[in-house]
Amino acid sequence: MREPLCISSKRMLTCPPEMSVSTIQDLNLVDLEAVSFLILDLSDWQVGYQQLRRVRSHVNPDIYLKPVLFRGSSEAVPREVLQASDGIIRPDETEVEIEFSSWSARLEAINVRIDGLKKISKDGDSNIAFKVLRLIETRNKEFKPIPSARKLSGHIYPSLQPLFPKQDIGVLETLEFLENQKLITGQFVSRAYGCTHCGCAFLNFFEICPDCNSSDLYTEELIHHFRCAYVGGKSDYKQGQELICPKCDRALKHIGVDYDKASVVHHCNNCSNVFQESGVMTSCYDCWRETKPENQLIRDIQTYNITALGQNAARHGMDSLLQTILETKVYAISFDAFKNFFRLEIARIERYKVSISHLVILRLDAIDQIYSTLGKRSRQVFDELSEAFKAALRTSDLFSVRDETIFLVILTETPLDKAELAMKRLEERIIALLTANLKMECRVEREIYPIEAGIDLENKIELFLQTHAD
Amino acid sequence: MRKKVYKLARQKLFHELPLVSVLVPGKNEGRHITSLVDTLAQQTYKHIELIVVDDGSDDDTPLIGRRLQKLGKITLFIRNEIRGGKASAANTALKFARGKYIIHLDADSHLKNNAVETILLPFFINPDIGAVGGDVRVANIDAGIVTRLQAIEYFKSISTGRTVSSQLGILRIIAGAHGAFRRDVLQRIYGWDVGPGLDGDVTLKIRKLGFKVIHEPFAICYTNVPNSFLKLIRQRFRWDRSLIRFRVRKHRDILLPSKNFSIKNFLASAENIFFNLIFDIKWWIYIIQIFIFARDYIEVIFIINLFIYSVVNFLEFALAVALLGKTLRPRELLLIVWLPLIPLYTGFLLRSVRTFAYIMEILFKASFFDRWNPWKVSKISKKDE
Repeated sequence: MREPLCISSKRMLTCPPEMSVSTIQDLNLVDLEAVSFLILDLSDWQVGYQQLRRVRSHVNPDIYLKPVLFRGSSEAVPREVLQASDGIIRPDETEVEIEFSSWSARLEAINVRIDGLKKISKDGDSNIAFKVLRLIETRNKEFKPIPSARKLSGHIYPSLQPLFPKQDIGVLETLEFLENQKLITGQFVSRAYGCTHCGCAFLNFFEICPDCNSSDLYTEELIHHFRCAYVGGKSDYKQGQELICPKCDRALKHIGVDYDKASVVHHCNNCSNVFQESGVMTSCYDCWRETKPENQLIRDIQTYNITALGQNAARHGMDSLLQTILETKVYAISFDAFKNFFRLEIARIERYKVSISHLVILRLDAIDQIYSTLGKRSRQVFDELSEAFKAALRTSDLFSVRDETIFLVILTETPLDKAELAMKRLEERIIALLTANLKMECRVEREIYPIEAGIDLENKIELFLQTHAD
Repeated sequence: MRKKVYKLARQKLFHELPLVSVLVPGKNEGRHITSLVDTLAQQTYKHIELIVVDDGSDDDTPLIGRRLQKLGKITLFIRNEIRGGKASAANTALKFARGKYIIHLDADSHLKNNAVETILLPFFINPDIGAVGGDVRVANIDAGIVTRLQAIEYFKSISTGRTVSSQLGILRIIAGAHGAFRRDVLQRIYGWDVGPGLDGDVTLKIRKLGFKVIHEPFAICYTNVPNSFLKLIRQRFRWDRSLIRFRVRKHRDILLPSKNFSIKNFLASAENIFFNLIFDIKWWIYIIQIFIFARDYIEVIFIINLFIYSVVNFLEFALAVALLGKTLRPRELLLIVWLPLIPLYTGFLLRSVRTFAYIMEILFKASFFDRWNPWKVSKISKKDE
């Protein structure tokens, strides 16, 4: 049975005497597998929150992912701080040990998940997106945003926020990145405007004169007196507390019965323009820049859940699954290495002037679709794909993947017709795999370029992308 | 002499170059506004602001109005979400008007290119003039027999009739379709009162203030008139009731002795009541008398009357041609062939409608139930009577 661990602070409330106590600096020395959760003192919530951030900013997954409970009164503590931890233990709890063991049991599932994570690097997890993904995976819950005036982004994901060293923008962008990678999935909650310059959600919307853009406006309600058809501003009618028609001297009694408000008119105090449809401008409270609303950022605020692919990535690392498989099975090399080999091949051909090699650039547009529709089962398809590549390529060929969807091959000592034949076979096999077996729409685009003096790999890729633009 | 006076007035006008506010109140008039805007752009007098008030339209008028405002073709477009009636829309426009002179137009009208300049000239001839009526002619003459008959009627009653009344100093109405006012005068009377018949009402109010009201036959506006007899009957039923509502009831003080009594104002109103109401009653008595006492001579009397009326109509038409001269278009001159039908049109059709309108207004105050005004306005106005 794992035990809780108190993190000491000067004002730490009393913990049970037999409970282990440590400091954040010494957490590396603790047997974290035996720790159920960390307890942080909340008597000064700012100190408590600071400690939580120190825990979460650690690179060791056993530390930053460890469940953390605040102990203290939740009165006057901001909601986002309370929700940043995994729970609250009241200080007046009499049966502390029972409470602790209850929490230990409830948090055990999280600890089991933490135990199941692969150690990616001996240096720990430094990639913030990966840390976010792992936290989401171990908590296995829906991550909901709450509106907050304390953050420029206007919304905060309380339990994710302490992972970020800088206190503001970053969470939303990271979540967006993870969603684009299909590692997490978002569910719409609301839509929010943000400053297009600095991302700040605190915008002042104000009406402006359509002619001179001044916001110095005077708005007037026009009152129509039914009896005499007089129309004037409210100030025309106002006599003390009463509304008296200046035309017929009758008191206005009931709106809708003897008068109504026909319309609203704005007067610009700057240029004297009169208008009904004012323009709208926004100004950012952070950077003070003024921008038209239609040019501001509009963000979808979402709740997030982890996907099957995300779970896999959280456990085994964020490198592309397909890339990993290809590296293992087809011996794909990194793009940087590929560039070096490409340069050498050009030099070799130029030097001996007898060799004919070709560069193949191939794009497969179904990768995203495979991720999104198959989830965990993507691996099986990628295994099949790697088999197709393996069959089409010779061991002397050089192979690399860029951005998951672009495949680069140097077909050494291969004339054009042979290169065409090999790629045609590869294409047929991929299409057969995806279209016939998985009923998936698939498009394979490819170009073959002779490798010769002066050829530039980046230019060729750029040319390929332009030629085969979506 | 007249030419010299007008030349001097024109010089004064272009020397002073006052801002003129053109007010166009209306409901569901979006389709007409573009052509009206175009005719205003072609005016010889350019110092104009155009204020359009959309009185609760339920078509695409707001879209058209806003677009024209953005293009700078309308100075101010005001949309009243709730319909308040023509008078309130006109008063809304008046509130925002900045011009020294106000020209009130109907949206389905368009102006001859010197109309604004011409209608302003009388203000520079006589400073006692408070309002000037422009000539209104029929734009859709060729839409059918009903519009041709109205075109002849407009020549008689507006172009000729109002010019003569104006010369006699007893003009009693300035058409809502085309009238110019001094803004200060309109503001003194707080604009228009609830209609129908608000144009005649505002004219009498201006007269009561002691200002002269004249007609300017060479300031020409073309307007679309009803193109079916049913629409015409509805329009006249609305117009004709105003004689009872305004001249007999609301402005009866003009007819009574008081310290503000003016013989010209008296004649302006009395002439209308006498020729339209009294003679109308007399005509029906005459018809009944014929049926009772001279049934055997009906055909002869009818033919003699038709002949006399036709001769008078030809003379009136000739007078209009002589008066309006070159301003008449060829197709307007061709209307002469329809003159024989005018006695039937005015003598029977319009008279019958008029009589019915008078009876309904005298007995039931029918104008207060007219859908031309929103019900909320009519209800309150009726209570006030």
